[in-house]
Amino acid sequence: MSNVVILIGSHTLRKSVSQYIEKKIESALNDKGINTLTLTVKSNPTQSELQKLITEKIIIVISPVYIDAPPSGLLKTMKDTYTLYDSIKTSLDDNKRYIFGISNCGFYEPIHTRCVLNIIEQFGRKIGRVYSGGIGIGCGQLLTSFNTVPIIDSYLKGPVEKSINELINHIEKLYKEEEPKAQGTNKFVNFRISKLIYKIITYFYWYSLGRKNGLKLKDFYYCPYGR
Amino acid sequence: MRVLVLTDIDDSNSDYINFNALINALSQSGIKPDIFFIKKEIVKPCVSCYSCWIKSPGSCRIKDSIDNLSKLFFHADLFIIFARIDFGCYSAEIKKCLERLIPNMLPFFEERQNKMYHAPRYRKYPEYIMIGYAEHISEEEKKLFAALTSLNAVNMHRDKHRHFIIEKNQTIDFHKLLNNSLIKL
Repeated sequence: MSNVVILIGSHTLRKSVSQYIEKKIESALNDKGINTLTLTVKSNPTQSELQKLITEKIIIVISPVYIDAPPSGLLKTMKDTYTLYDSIKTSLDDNKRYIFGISNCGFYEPIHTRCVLNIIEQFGRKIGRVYSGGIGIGCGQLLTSFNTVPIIDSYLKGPVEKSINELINHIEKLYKEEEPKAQGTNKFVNFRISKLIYKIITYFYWYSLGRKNGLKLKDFYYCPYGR
Repeated sequence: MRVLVLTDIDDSNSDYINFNALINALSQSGIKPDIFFIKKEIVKPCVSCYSCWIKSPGSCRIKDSIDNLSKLFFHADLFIIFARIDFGCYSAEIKKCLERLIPNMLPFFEERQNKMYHAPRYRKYPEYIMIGYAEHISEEEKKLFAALTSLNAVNMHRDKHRHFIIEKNQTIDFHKLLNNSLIKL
């Protein structure tokens, strides 16, 4: 049986939200008896790994939003995969192949992820895949927060977790060939939190990180290239 | 007027003719642009360490050619990006540079067009024109490129912007195009 390949597009040095989502999907799919293979752009995928992005039946691309688009490392991996696809496409069999996209952003509105999902869709088409749907997640940073308070955690994350679970079920059905409807659309989801509260949380989040490094409030506004 | 041109092109590229035409059109208008050829520079990717927000505000801790690009960016009245289009997005090389300009925004959010964006660090940012080139581009990719350019303009704190797409074997009258654009900007 083939693997479901999960490509993590984040090249952050810290533990990323994309990694958190990948772990969740990986463990859910493994529980259903589906093998997964995880690749990260951070570790520069080899040619044989790029080939798996072309040949395996299902791939999932997980990407943060950096200035409205996927990170440069993910764009490079996509381009390298497309170049490889161009050179081997005549030798590929006629089986249908699928791609899913998941994108998370730190903004309140999940619609900020729209271009990233559309770029993943275009990439999928260029390498001969059917775009089977995606999830755009707002307030992404909250996914890795509140884990120590289970009731608050499950309440806040409810809509996001539900969408991820639906996507996992969709993948399972495609994998086991129980799903006739292969094409999918994008769904944009958020946490159960008001915009004002989210704004306040993020403000104090950045302020407290700066304070730990000895910054005062006015220091945050420093302009090294003049005003 | 001071103009900064950021490009992923090099002289081995077939679209170099169009790039030269752009530079000539600027020269005819009496403008000698600063040109940042990414392929001739050392630019490392952003690692999202956020040092530029919470340790040394406004400055990236990675020391490479980006410091020079940032200086040119804030001295420019007009910022032109001349980029290859891949999957409806500009190339990874251009993206790498744009990501490294993140220190020019604040970590804090503000609301524009009913959506949250990072607040500007500076009072003034250059006007913005995006020129994309592609050998084969679908209608969907063109729409995506236009949408992405508009969103980037909001992120760069510009209400107005222009974008153009150059397809294979297309030649452009940049003199006319720039004059029209600058009036509209």
